[in-house]
Amino acid sequence: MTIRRPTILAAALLAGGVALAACGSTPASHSGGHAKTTTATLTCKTSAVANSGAANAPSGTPAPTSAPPIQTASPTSSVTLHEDGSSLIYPYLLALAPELPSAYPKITLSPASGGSGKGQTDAIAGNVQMGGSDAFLSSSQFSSNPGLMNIPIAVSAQAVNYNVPGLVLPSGQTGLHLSGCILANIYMGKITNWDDPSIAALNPGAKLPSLPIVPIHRVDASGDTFIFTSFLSDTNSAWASGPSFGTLVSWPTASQISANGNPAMVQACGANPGCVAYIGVSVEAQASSAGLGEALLQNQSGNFVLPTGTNMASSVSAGAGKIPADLAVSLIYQKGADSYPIVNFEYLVVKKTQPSADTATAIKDFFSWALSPTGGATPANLGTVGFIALPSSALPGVDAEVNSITG
Amino acid sequence: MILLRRRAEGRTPGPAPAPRAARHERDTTIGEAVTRAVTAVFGSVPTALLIFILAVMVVTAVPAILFTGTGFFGTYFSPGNYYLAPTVHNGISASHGAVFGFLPEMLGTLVTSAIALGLAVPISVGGVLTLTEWVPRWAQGGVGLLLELLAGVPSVVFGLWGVLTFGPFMLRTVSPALTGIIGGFPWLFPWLPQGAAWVLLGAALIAFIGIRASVHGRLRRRARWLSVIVLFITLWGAVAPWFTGEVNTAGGVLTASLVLALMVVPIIAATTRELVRHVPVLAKEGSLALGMTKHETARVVTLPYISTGVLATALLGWGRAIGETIAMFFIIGNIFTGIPVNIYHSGATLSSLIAGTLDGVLQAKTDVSALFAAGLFLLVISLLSNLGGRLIIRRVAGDRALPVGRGV
Amino acid sequence: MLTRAVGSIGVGSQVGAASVPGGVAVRDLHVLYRANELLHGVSSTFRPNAVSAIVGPTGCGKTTLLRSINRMHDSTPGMRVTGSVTVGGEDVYGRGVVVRGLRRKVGMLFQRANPFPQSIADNVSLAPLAHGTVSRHGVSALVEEHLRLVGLWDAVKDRLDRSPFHLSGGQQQLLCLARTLALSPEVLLLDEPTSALDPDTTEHIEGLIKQLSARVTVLVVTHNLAQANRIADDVLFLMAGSVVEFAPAQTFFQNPADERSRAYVSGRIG
Repeated sequence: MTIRRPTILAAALLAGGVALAACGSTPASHSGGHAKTTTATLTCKTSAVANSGAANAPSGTPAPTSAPPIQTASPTSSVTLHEDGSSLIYPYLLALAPELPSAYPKITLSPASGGSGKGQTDAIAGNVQMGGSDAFLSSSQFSSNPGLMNIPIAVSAQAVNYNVPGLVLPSGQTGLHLSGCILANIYMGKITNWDDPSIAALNPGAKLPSLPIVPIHRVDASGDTFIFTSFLSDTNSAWASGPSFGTLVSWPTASQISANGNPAMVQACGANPGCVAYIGVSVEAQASSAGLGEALLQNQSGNFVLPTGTNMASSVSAGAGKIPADLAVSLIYQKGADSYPIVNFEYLVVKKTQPSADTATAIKDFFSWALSPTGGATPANLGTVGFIALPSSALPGVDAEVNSITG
Repeated sequence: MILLRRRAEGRTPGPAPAPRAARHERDTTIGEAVTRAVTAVFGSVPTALLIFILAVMVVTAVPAILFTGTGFFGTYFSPGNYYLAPTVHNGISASHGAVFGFLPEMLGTLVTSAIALGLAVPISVGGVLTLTEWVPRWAQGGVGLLLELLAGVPSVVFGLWGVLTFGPFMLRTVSPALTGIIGGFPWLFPWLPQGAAWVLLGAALIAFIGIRASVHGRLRRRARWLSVIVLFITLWGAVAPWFTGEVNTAGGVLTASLVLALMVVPIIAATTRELVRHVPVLAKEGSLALGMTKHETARVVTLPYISTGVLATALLGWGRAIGETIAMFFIIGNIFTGIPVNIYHSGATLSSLIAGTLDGVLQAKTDVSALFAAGLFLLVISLLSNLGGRLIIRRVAGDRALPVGRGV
Repeated sequence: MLTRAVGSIGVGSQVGAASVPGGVAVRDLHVLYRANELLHGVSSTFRPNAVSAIVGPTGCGKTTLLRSINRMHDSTPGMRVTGSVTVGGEDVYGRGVVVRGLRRKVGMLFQRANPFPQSIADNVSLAPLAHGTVSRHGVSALVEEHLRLVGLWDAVKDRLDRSPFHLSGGQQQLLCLARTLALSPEVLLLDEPTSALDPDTTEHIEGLIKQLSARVTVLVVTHNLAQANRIADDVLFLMAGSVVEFAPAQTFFQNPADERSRAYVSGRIG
C-alpha cells in the first residue's frame, strides 16, 4: 500500500509528461507569459491523449473476486448510525434514512453534510460511525490509522456547471463542450475569458460572449475537489505537477471565489455571472433550477459526454476491473467511447473495530441493506441523485471489508 | 494559631502590644477575610483564563511558527495537499505545499472592521440625534425597541441575507456604479500607483505634523484646514484605486464590510441613544435659552458631551467587527491565496479563515497549529486595537482636550 | 410703584410701561403640567431697566413663571401655557413669534453654571455667531469685551481656547453671564443664579446685576430674602402659584400689605 501511492504519483507525473505535449505548453512557459500571447500554445488538443487514468494503475493486493455475503443480524438494542461528510453523498443518505427502519426497525441513520474532509476526520476521531467521502483515503491516512476502511456504497459523478449569460449554443448541443485541460488552464488563470479561442475550438458554431471567467472552488476539505482535481491532473501536466489532486489543494490565485459545500457552490455560481464550478450530480437538480448550464466533458476518446447513468457505467466497467483490496480506486478519466470522465465511488469511512457489538452489527446490516437493489440501492433512490449502483465486480471486495468489522 | 499570633505580635517593634482588641474592634474580621479571599479567587478567574487561553494558543501554534517563521506575513495560505508527500521544514512536517501566509487575512480583518466602523459611527450618531431631537417621544420607544431587536439578530441571519439578497444586489447595482464613478474621475488621483499614494500619504502626515507644530495664532485655523485638505487628497489617492476595476463577485470585501457595518450600527446606536438621553437637560437648556436651534444645540452641546462615550462604544463595536466570524465566512468569499485586487473582490478575515478551514484540516497537526497561529494574530490585533482605542479615549477625555469642540 | 393683590392688576394703566423695550408684562398666566395647574392666573408688569425679585416658598411657581417668559416650557411635553406674556409690548406666545429671536432678546442664567463643552472663547461667541449679530472678524473683540464686562478677562485671557470646566463654579457662572450678555439682551432672567456660589462671587454677581439693570430689565428668582433686599427694586411674592403681593422692595420688606408677606419676610413661613 505504501508502495502503491508513490506509484500513483509517479504515474500521474508520467502521464502529465505526455499530456504536457497534448496541451502544447510547459509549466515554464506558463509562468511568465500573458494569457493572450500564449493562447495558441494553450490549445488543448483532443488527439494524442495518453491514458492518464493515473490514479488507477493496478497495484497492491487486488480485491477478492468472491466473498461470502455480509452477515446480518438484528442488533439487541436501538442503534443510531451517525454519518457526517460529503455533501455529494448527503442527499442520497437522506433518501435512504427514512426507508431503513422498514428493514431494520432498531437502526436509525442520521446523516449530515460537513464535507468529505470532515467526514474523514470525524470517522477517524470516532465522532461518527460512518464518514461520507467522495475521495478514497490517502496512503498516509491508511498508514496512520490502522483499521480504517473506505467502503463504497454507490457510484457518483460530478458535473461541471457554468453561468454564462449571452452564450448561444448551436442547435442540438445541450451544453458547452469543455475539456479537463481547458478547465485546468481556467483554474490556473491561463484562460480568463469565455470567448477564448481554445474554448471556441471545442464549440464550433457557438456564440461565446466576451465575459471574464469566474472559477469557483470549494473552501472546505472536499471529495468533490478531490475528484475534480484528479480529472485536471489526468488531463493537464502543469496542473498535475502544480496543485495536483486532493481534498484540499493549493489553489492558484485565479480562482477568486470559494464556497462551502455543494449547495453553496450552486448558489455562488448562480450569483456570479461568468462562473464555472464543479458540482456533484446529486445536486444537479438545484443547479439546473438555478439556471446553471451543465458542460459536456471531453473523455479520452475525444467525445463530449454528460454524466448519464450509461456514461457513468461505461467509466465504471473500464475502471472497476482493477479494484484493490482496500477499495481505494480512481474512476477518473477512463477509457471508453461513452465514459464520463469524472466518476467516483461514494465511500463511507468506517473503523474496523467498533465500540460495541451492536454498532458493528448495525453497520453490517446497513451496508447489506444499502447495497441491495431491493434494499436501499433501488433505481428510484439512485435515480433521484443521479447515482448508479456499484458494479457487481466490486461487491466481493466490499463484502469482505464489511464482514471484517467487529464490535 | 494563638502561638503564631503571639509571635507576630512579639516581632512588632514599638510600644508594648496593647491588650488584644475585642473582635469587633479588630481591623480584619473573619468575615472580611473570607470575603477578600473569595473575591480574590473570582477576581483572578478572568485573568487566569486569559493567560491560560493565550498559553494554550501559543503552545499549539509553536509547530506552525517553527515551520513558517516570518512567512506568516506572506500573502498565500494553503493547508497543503494530504494526498502528496509531506513537506518538512525546520524539523516540522506539514502537508505537501502547506503555506501559512496570513497577511491578506490580517488586512481583511482590519479593512472590513475599519469600513464597517467608519460607516456605522456617523450613521448611528446622526441617526440617534435625529431620533431624539425630531421624532416624537412616543415613536422613539418603538425605534429604540427596533434597534435593540436588530442588535439581537444572530449574525448567521445577517450572513444569509448578505449572501442571498444583499450580495447579488451589490453585484448588480452598487459595485458597478461605484467602480464606474470612482474610476470615471481620473483627475481624482487613481492614476497613481498604490505605492506612490502611500508615499504621498506619509509626506502629507509629516506636513500635517509640521504645520501643526510651527504655526500659531491666527494662521492656525487656516493651516489646519490646509492640512486637512492635503491629508484628504492623499488618503483619497491611497484608497481610491482599491475602489476601481473589475467587479466579479456577489460577495467580496465591500459587501462584507457593509453587512458588518449594519451589524455594528445597532450596538453603537443603542448605546449612543443612552448617552444622548443622559446629556444633562441643564446643559442643553443653556444653549436653547440663547436662541440656538436644536440642530446647533446638538452640535455644540450634545455631541461633545457624548463624544467620549461614543468612542468607547465604537471600540466595543470594533471588537465585535474584528471577531465577527460566521457572517464574514458566508459573504467575504474566503480567498486565502492573495490580497484582493480591489475592494469588490473576494477576500478573507482571520476568523473566516479559521471557520472555513478548521473542519477539513483537523487531521493535519501542523495545519491546526497554523490556525491557532491565525487565532493568535487575531487576539493580538484585538488587544492592540483595544489598547490604542483606550489611549485615544484617554486623550479625548483627558486633561488636554476635554470635550472642547472645534467651534463654528 | 405697584402694590396689587392677586389678579387685580389694571390693564389699561400698565400698557405704557410694558410696551417700552425691555418691559415685561404677564397677564392671567396659567401654566399646567398635565392635569396640575402650577400657576393660577398670574398677572404682573415688571418695570423696565429695574431689578425685580421673584420670591416665595419652594414650589410656589417662581421658576415656572420665569421660564414662561422666554418660552422654555415649549420643549417640555405636557406643559401648557395660557394667558399672555409680553416683552417690549410684543406677545411672546402670539402667532408668528420666532422663539429664536425672542430668546436673543431675553437672556437667561440658570441655578448652576452650564457652559458649553466648548472653548472659553467659543462659549461667548457661539450664540452671537449663530444669530449673526457679530462677524467673524468681530469675534475676538466681542469675547474680550464681555469677559471684561463680567470681570473674567484677566483670569482666562491666556486660556481662551481651553475648556471652561477647569474654572471654578463661580467663574463658570460668570462665563455663562458673559455668554448671555454677548447677545445684548433687553431682558435678563436669572434663576437663583448664586445659589451654588460662594459669598465673594455672589457679591460680585450681585454688583453686576445692579450695574446691568441700568440698561436691562432683570427678573431674578431667589430664595434668599437678604439678596432680594440687597438688589431688588421691586419684589413679587408668590405662594402656591398665585401672586400674594407685588411691591417696591422697600415697601415689601418694611411694610408689606399682606399678612402672608409679613409672615414670609419675618421668616415665619417659607
